[in-house]
Amino acid sequence: MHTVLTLAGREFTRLRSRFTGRARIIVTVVLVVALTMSYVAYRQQAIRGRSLYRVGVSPDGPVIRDTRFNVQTLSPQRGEEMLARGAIDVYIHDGEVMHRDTEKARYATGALALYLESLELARISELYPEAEAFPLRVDISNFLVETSPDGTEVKERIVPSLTQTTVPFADVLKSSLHLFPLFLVSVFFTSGLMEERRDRRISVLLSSPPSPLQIIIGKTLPYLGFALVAEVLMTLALGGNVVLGLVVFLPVVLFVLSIYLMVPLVYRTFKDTTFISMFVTVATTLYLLFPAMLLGVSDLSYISPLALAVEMYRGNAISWRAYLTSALPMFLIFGVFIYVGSRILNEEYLTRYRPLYRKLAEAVLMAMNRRRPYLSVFLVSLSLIPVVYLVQLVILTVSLNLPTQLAFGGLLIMSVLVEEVVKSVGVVMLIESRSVRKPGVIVLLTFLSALGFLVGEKLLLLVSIQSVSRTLLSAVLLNAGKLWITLLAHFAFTTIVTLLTRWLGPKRYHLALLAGGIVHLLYNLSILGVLQ
Amino acid sequence: MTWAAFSALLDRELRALARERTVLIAFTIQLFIASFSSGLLMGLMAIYDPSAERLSQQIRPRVAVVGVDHVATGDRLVEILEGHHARVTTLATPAQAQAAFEAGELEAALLVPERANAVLNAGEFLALELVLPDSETQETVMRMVLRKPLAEYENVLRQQNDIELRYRDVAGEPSTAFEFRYGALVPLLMFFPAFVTGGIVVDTVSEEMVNRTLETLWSTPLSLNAILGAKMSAALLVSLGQSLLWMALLTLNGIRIRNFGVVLLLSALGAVMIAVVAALLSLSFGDRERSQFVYALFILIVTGVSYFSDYSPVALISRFAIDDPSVSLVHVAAYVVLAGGLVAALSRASRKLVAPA
Repeated sequence: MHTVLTLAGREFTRLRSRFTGRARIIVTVVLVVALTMSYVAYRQQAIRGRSLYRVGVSPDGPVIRDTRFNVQTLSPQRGEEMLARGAIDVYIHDGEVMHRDTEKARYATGALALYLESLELARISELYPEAEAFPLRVDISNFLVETSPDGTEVKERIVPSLTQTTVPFADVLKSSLHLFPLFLVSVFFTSGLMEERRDRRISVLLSSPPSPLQIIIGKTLPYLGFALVAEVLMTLALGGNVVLGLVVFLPVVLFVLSIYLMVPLVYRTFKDTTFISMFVTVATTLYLLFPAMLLGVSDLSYISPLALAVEMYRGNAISWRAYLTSALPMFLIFGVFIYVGSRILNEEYLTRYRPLYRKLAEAVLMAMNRRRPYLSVFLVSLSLIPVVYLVQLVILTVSLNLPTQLAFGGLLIMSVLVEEVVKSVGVVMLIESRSVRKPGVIVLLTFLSALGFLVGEKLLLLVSIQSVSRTLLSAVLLNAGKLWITLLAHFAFTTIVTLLTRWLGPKRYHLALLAGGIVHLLYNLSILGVLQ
Repeated sequence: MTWAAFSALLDRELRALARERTVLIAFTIQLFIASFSSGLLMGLMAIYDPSAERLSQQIRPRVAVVGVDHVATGDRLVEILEGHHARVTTLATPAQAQAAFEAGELEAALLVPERANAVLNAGEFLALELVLPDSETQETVMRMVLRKPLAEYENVLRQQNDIELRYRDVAGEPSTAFEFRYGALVPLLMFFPAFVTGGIVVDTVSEEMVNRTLETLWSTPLSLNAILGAKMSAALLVSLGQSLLWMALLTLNGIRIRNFGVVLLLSALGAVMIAVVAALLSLSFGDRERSQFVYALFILIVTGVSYFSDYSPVALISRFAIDDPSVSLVHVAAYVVLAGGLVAALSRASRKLVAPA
């Protein structure tokens, strides 16, 4: 522990030394301006665009305060003249809305109608008693209809005119502000490791007593601290519950840091790091944002911790299952990546320049104990489950939104390939490193890999919210079928991949993968009833 | 400085970008994600705002109104529901509704309380009960489809209280998809390449500075400004290619971009300005870590500022793309001048910012 804290202290000092004198002033000013601008932009909620529509309003017309409308006060004569020559899309006069006969003007009128409705509702709520202004309530319940005098159990009471079903953009946007400081902290985290690699200080450190794991934890700790402090401050600024905010965002912080740990360990040049970081940032943001947009429509939204954050800011309760659905894969990925990072943090791996897929494959090989191949392949499959789970849940979420006919085939193919790669990669790397040769041993290793995959999958499904396991496609993607059939199927498809790789050679792994993938795909199609 | 030396350096930079296949892979993946996300978001909008995709006209829910005689405006309720494509049956008791639901003949039941008239006459609000299937998806769809007719019926009750909502007859097209396309998607995709350009410039300049190869380059016939110019030009060419790719993709997806050339020019001007700032930051800090950090903050500021002005490059791209008659080339010219000023400032400040060893 002392060693880890010393390393963390050293990293903190290094970081502090980068911001002295003029640099500190510049960075502080820019940081304050950036945070203020982001917050004000968020408050303005200008996400829907600026000046998309040109609207003329007569002097006695309504006051329009919405960034989408570029509003001019115009006399009736001028307004009608400008409308006629297309200088404005819509003109409002004497309670009447006139618009041009163009596509854009019709959109403008549609947007204006909703805006004016909200203005009118606000007006009558001020002028009249509530029961007169809003004379209808709708109590929502589910079948069975109770015929007793007490009636059916009411789930929710709504006022129809005040109930808008809109994408929870604003709420999700508010929660996504938590990601900004996280990505900024990651810039330093990645850069620090990159620089140590570049000037070979990491080699000196590796020859010293601390173990690679201690080095990684020591270097991660300061950034973990910064990120958590930033999350607390952000929760306070946005008016959330600090403790709950920390509980919700801790897995996100660990998840993002673990991914950014891998970037400089796998890559060498600045440009590589920037592009992969950029990709990771985009992919992580998409992964966190999109499921959260489904909040209120499907419980699948709880795949993303941002959905939990939205619930937190709304003052709603968060169930343990919902929390585990989003947090557990992230905690597990953090654990796996820290372990893999500690295995590949060595001179040989860091200085070798290879394509990305080779580096990742080598990372898998180095994460295994070659003296215990059976246990290793089992654990590789088991520990990569959270990665597969994240990828497949994204596929599942996407499948709910895209036209099934178009997306179905592609989604199935993607999920099959992801699964087969994960199940076969450990065995294939052992074949390539010539640690195993005999087909019998390969078949046994494949069986253990398939078993590890199945065990991991069932454990994750056990703690997930029911909607994940209930979805039709999840029966296929997450193999929610009979246990022994699933195990045999896993085993059979991957055996095709591993044995073909053994016979054709690792260079033709893609062909073996294709063969195993096709059989797997046919099996999935038969489960779904597409193939009889 | 000779043109030959400049083009040789530009060629070297472009080759370096092309050689590192990860860059190209990253571009392809980003392209995929962006096109994918637009499809996904349009799908989301169909869920939350069915009118945007005209889904509500395609769904014809079977609704039972139980106790329609309990309220004087019961017939209006049925009329409104039918006007919104619902297939309505009137039933006498909740038990009948339950039986019809179990027989698969209903998706929703609307129960009118027995004392409905009395409640309304007493100046209180009427509470209807809406019974829906116990399935998350079905319940969500029914709630979305029935919200509008119920709001319309609420207005009927409101009129009985002599309260009139103005502007009720305003008819237009649902604007959600249009606003998303032109207010968010088009500007985002047209500026993403500019952000990438800045990232490349920070990396390429700070890499030369950290490795001290900038000094070596500087000792050749090339001036410092020519070196920076070549590096920035390479990044800008990549950006321009990406912007064109985005625009082609948007057009293929049926999103029409008016004033194609002006939109492309604005995207390029944004990239030039961001590239100049990125170069200034790299020269000032001399290392990637601080330069990238401040650059990331700068992007945050630029994004924030863009939301406050109707004439920011982001807003202008939206407005030109929808052929807004109130924007003209004068607004673009202002950014040409600004970009030119920034380039001039960089060429004047570059030597002072980087002191040769």
